Amino acid sequence: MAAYVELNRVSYRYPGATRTLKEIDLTIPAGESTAVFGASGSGKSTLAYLFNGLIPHFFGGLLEGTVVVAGNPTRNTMVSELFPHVGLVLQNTDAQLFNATVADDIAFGLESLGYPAIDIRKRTHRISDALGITHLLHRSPETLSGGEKRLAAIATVLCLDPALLVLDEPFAGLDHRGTRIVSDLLRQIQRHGKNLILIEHRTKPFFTEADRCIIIDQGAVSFDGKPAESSGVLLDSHLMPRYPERRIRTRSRSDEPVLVIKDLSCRIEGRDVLSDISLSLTRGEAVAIVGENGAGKTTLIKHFNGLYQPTTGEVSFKGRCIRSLHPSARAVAVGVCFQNPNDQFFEADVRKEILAGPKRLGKYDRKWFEQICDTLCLHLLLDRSPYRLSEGEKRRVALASILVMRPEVLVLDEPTAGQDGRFKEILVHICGSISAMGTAMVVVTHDLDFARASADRWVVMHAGRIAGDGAPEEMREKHLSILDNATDRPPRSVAGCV
Amino acid sequence: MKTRDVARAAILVAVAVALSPFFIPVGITKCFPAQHMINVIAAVMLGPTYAICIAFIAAVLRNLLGLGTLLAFPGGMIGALLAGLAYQAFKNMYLAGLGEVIGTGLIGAMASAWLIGPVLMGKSMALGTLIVAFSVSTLGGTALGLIVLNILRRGGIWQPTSN
Amino acid sequence: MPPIDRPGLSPVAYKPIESGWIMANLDPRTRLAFLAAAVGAVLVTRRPETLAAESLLLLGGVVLLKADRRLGHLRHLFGPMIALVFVTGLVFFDLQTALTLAARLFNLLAVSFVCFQTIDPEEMAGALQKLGIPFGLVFILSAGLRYVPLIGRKIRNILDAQQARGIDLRPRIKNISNFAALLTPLVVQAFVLSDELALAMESRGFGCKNRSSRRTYSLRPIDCILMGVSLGGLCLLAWWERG
Ligand SMILES: Nc1ncnc2c1ncn2[C@@H]1O[C@H](COP(=O)(O)OP(=O)(O)OP(=O)(O)O)[C@@H](O)[C@H]1O
Ligand SMILES: Nc1ncnc2c1ncn2[C@@H]1O[C@H](COP(=O)(O)OP(=O)(O)OP(=O)(O)O)[C@@H](O)[C@H]1O
Ligand SMILES: [Mg+2]
Ligand SMILES: [Mg+2]
Repeated sequence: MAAYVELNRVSYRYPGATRTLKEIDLTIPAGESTAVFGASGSGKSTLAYLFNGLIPHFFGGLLEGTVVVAGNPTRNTMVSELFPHVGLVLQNTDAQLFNATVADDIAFGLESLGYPAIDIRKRTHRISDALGITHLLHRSPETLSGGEKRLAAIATVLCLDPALLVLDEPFAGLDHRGTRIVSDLLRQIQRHGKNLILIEHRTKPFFTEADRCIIIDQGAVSFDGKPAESSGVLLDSHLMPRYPERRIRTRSRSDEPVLVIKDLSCRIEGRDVLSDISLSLTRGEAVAIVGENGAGKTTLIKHFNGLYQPTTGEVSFKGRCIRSLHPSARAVAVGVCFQNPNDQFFEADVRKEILAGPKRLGKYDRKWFEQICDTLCLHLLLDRSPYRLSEGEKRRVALASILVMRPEVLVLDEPTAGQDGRFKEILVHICGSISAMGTAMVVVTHDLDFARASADRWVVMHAGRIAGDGAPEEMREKHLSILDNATDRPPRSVAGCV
Repeated sequence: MKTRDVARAAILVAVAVALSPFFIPVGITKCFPAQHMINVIAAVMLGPTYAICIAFIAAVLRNLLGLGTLLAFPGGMIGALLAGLAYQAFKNMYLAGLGEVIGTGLIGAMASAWLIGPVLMGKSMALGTLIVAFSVSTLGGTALGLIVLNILRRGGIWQPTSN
Repeated sequence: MPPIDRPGLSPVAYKPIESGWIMANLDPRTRLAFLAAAVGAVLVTRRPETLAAESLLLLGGVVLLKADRRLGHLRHLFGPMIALVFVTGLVFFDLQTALTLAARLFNLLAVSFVCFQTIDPEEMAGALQKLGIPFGLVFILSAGLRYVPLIGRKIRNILDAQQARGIDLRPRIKNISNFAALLTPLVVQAFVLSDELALAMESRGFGCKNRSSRRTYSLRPIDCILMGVSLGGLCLLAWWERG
């Protein structure tokens, strides 16, 4: 087979940075699908930018060695000539879908190539039929669910019929249903003989179907072989987390509840987002809230600390309604760490950032601060700018800025999204230490293995209601359809798109 | 390079529009800082041409979405232009801020007064009242814009271009 | 206007109202010409009687468009400004001038409001492109519009995240030193998003020279007639007001 992509001793450094990729040799024959793994910051996305010439033409920097794609050396071929051959789907679908409607987005690449309006219409319909997204064509990307956005993002490049498709973390943030739809699609694309390069943290979906697995470690290829042979390496390099066995502690009846939610329901814009939620949390308890995308998990935890006013029902903290407390007192009662740590950072260094809350409330406790820095291993980061940290470090700083308020209930919203295995292992450890201090812990997550390793009790949510509440194994069996195995519509054929 | 500027401009427009319902009550008037903050940031980061385009498009969008009025045009574009020119000439973001305040608070207010009724231009006292009322927003917005720029510089997100 | 406490809370506030039927069949360029002529008409008006007639016409237009509810959103912007101009006129001139000024301002705001509400943003982009405005500018308009709700959502998330750590961000003047906690994360993330957007644009051929368009517009005779009529009307009014 002829090589479709050839990387010959490729090294790269971003302008003003140290070397990100180091001497990569890689030959990908036509029709092969490759899964690329690597720790956070190892250079996976950077590798993806090589294929369609974004490196060096867009980023600048210093590229050594040669990259040849479909017979064109990328150094002399502009992105505008390469993009019909190499479809790149970015991790952030909000950036990928930048037009008013999905149809406009699919058309954009075709318009760039100067196709007449009539051809554009034909191709748009063909591709949307094949992917089963015809009903989404006239919707704004803003109104789509995570899985739908991902399909639409793939459609925007698939309509150009590229021979190589590069996907950067296509499964990030998807529940099992979305994951299933996307991996079915990938399988179809693979069957049509296209080259696939799949960059991922998650090792479950699609992994075993790839022809080849590559592991990148600090910018260099550290493993290159069959997926079946890679699991040992993945575990050893902490790309697949290895959690300690957890002994489930059931709560004793004598424990006083800290947070009690009674008959809570919530209507937003005429839709019932939550209904009939009753739940109580006790000191030192570790609970995981699991459920599909859009089940209402985030909305629920926004009620925990009084950000939202329940439409009916009540949230009480130690017997007092949480909304009756002053906003700053709520933060001391229930700490919520939201999904995106970047939503929080506004100070010039990490120390100020962590202390921003306590300083404003006049509640700075030096000993406690030191203890948190110990628990979260932050001492070396204190003088750095929070924006310049790695994603895992950012998350730890965000967590510290909540913990420093000494909340009695701590809620983490999707703490593992987009993180590598090593971080997940550290996080399980941190969660253990926090529970040991007597704080009630709640983690909201899609990652069932993580939920199993960090919680003693699972609350399963489905369509705004609590479907089950109990021990993890029991919940997993009882609610298989919500958590793991929902029967989807059969995969459609992408035959039309070629 | 150009793609990057266009993308940045598009997002700044979105920020200006999305933040435009946000106001701070100041005594009997209200301070709508969004557009003026974006003007300063855009002027410093992208230069006068982009700044004025951003102000124009943000004004169009605010009108389309019912979040602003016709006065958004003189109230945003002149300040953006002056701020951009000031930064281009002096490479000093405080002077860019000054440009924005003069452009919106003085010239923008005069342009709006002329639109409302040329008689207003005849009486300096009447004009003065309008100028003071118009300046509340631009002062607040410029201050916030400068604060944000300073934090970005200290956090290493953005570096001012040297002369 | 969305609640003051939580700017951007309601994504509905960022959606233009449906006005379809009135001018749905016209080329967007015609509507732009109509908008320009209408604003021009208000600007050239001098006589109080004409002003009053225009005010009545505009009120009718607002009702006809069923836009009065939306206009309610705008009273935060309309009300204080008209009141200010009226009081200024009263203090420094006389009642007659004050009334004229207030009516003129009302007409100005209302005419642009009514006209803009009949234009669909995407068509606006199409019209501008047809008028020969560079693609870059048109793109900023359409992409800006696409990202408004997304940024609104980000603002909401930031407000929630910061309030969860005890930083008071309610819009009070005493909280002004805290606003950096809203604006800095917002601007930083806006830049990250814009870099990713630039990547996405570049990898789908934003810079290509021979770009085509999926939408086609063509001026029909009715469009030309209407454009002529509105411009003619404007000239006529200008002449009448002068005379
Ligand atoms: N535009 C840039 N300028 C300078 N350095 C960069 C740039 N983009 C990424 N880097 C650096 O290059 C390294 C590799 O980044 P890259 O995004 O490729 O990692 P990744 O493997 O995709 O990580 P993740 O799994 O978190 O997405 C990181 O250390 C990052 O800080
Ligand atoms: N402010 C809001 N306005 C309108 N709809 C909302 C709002 N907040 C949440 N929703 C809707 O409520 C539902 C539940 O959303 P929520 O974010 O709580 O889900 P989730 O379980 O956290 O999902 P995910 O796993 O994707 O994070 C969604 O359908 C969402 O569209
Ligand atoms: Mg990456
Ligand atoms: Mg959520």
